Amino acid sequence: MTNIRYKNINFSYGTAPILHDVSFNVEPGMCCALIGHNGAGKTTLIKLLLGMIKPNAGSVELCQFNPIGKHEKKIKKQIGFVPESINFQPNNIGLQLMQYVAKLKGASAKDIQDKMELTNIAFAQHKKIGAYSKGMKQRLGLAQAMLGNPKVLILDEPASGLDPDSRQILYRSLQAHAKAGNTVMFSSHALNDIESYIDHIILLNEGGVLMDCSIAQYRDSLKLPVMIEIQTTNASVSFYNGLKEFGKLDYDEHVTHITVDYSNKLPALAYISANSCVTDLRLLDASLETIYHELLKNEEHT
Amino acid sequence: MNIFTILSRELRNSLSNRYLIAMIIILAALGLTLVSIGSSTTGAVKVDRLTVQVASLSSLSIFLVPLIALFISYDSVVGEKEQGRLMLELSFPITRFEWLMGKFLGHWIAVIIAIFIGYIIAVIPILVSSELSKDSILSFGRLIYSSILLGGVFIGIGYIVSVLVKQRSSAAGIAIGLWLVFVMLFDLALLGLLVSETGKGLNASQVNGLLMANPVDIFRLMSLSTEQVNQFSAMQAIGEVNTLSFGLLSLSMLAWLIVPLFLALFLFKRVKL
Repeated sequence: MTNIRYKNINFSYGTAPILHDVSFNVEPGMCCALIGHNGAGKTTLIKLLLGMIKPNAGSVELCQFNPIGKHEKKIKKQIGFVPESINFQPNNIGLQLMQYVAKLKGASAKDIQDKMELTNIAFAQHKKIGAYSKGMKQRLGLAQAMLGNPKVLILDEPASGLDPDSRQILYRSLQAHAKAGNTVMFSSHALNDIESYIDHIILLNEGGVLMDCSIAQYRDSLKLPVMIEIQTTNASVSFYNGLKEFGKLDYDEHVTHITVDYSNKLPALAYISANSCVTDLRLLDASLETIYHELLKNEEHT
Repeated sequence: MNIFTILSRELRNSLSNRYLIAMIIILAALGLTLVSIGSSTTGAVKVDRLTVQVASLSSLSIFLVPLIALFISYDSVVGEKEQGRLMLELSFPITRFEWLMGKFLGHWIAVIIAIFIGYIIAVIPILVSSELSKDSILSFGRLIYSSILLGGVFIGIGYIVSVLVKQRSSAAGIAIGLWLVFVMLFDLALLGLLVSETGKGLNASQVNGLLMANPVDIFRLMSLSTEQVNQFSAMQAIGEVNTLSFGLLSLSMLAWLIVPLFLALFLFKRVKL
């Protein structure tokens, strides 16, 4: 059962086209990132999903229903949302906000405490929101979104302006929510941060979907150069000369990095492992950011 | 049920708003000042002090009640939008109708509380020191009732502004402009018309029709509708021309309450976020 489905979506603001023929699904248990440059259509996709705007053509389904129409309230009970910039009422205390959202969603007092503890904001529940830091506000935003254990969690740039600790809490919470069988979809620019927490990527470019698969699938499909980290003891000059044949070298006393073309990966590995001076080796995959830039470069060429 | 959740949140936020508290204090303080100034006339015309106070409070409320209502409502939608809260609010399991209606009721109750506190403080010295006639109590009741309706009307008008504009500062400017038009400029234009050559040809029903075009004038006619109070009003002449019953005036005011509110709801349903 698909929780999020976009089918042949076209959307424009006035005469400016934003999305054209966008189709993809996000399944339960999936933590999915929407990536793309500013203006690629990420926030528009989120607005369509929340029923804030209607597509010019195509259809959007959230938990198998159209988010606009007679099932609106029923669907909204299944979702949690964190907007890009949150300015909650500064005079309210954190707990008041949570109680307000809990009443609307039909969540219990225990759920309020659980979610505040999960997002590490329970310690500030009696403080006025005006006194919260940006990270605390963002965590409170996540806590309110998770009230009622929504089947679908939607977040728009949730990590912008957060410190590394807060980012880690955020992404771990999202990952845990997805692993519990729910769907998480969020937009992000922090590509290197999200890499180890997500299962799936939707890459948007100029209003269209450039790629829709897992990071592993991306890597396999792009066949990007691979970096190998080698640790050696008493390596001879001839070893390095032989290594240079496979790619570009960068080395110091004990650790050597070599970047080899995808087609040279296996021969290079065979050469390295056959030398007795090599004590250890590690394959370093291309980062998500490298993949992203590579994809956009390829798109420009085509 | 969700309407009540939003209502109670809005009410709590409004009542903790320091500007609203300041306006309640101004209303009460000016009302108390009028008690001492207005009492000098009562001896000669032989009416009780509450009647005089109702006429004075009515003149004061014409300025303050629309101001309080517009102040509380002008940024209800555009302010939430500007702060990035509107999308979040509408992602909760509520319809746009429920959200705006909940806000309206919360704001209206806050204005009603402000009116009650302001008026009660303003008449306490009279209530404890003089005997009151049935007519004066009726006049006071009508003043409260018409003030409540006037507050609701201007909250609805404030909502239309708030839905239509894109910036909070524009909403504030338009709200002040509307306050000036309804409270001051309309009556100046009307008086100008009445003394002009064209105006001299107008009959009572035409004048009544013009008065109905402004909720502030309907309020004036409603709150001055008892004969005793009317004697003390600066608008006595218009009161005499007015041949409309209190019931009809109430209906007109209700129409002024419902039409802007539903227009705001209609427009809000079409707002793109």
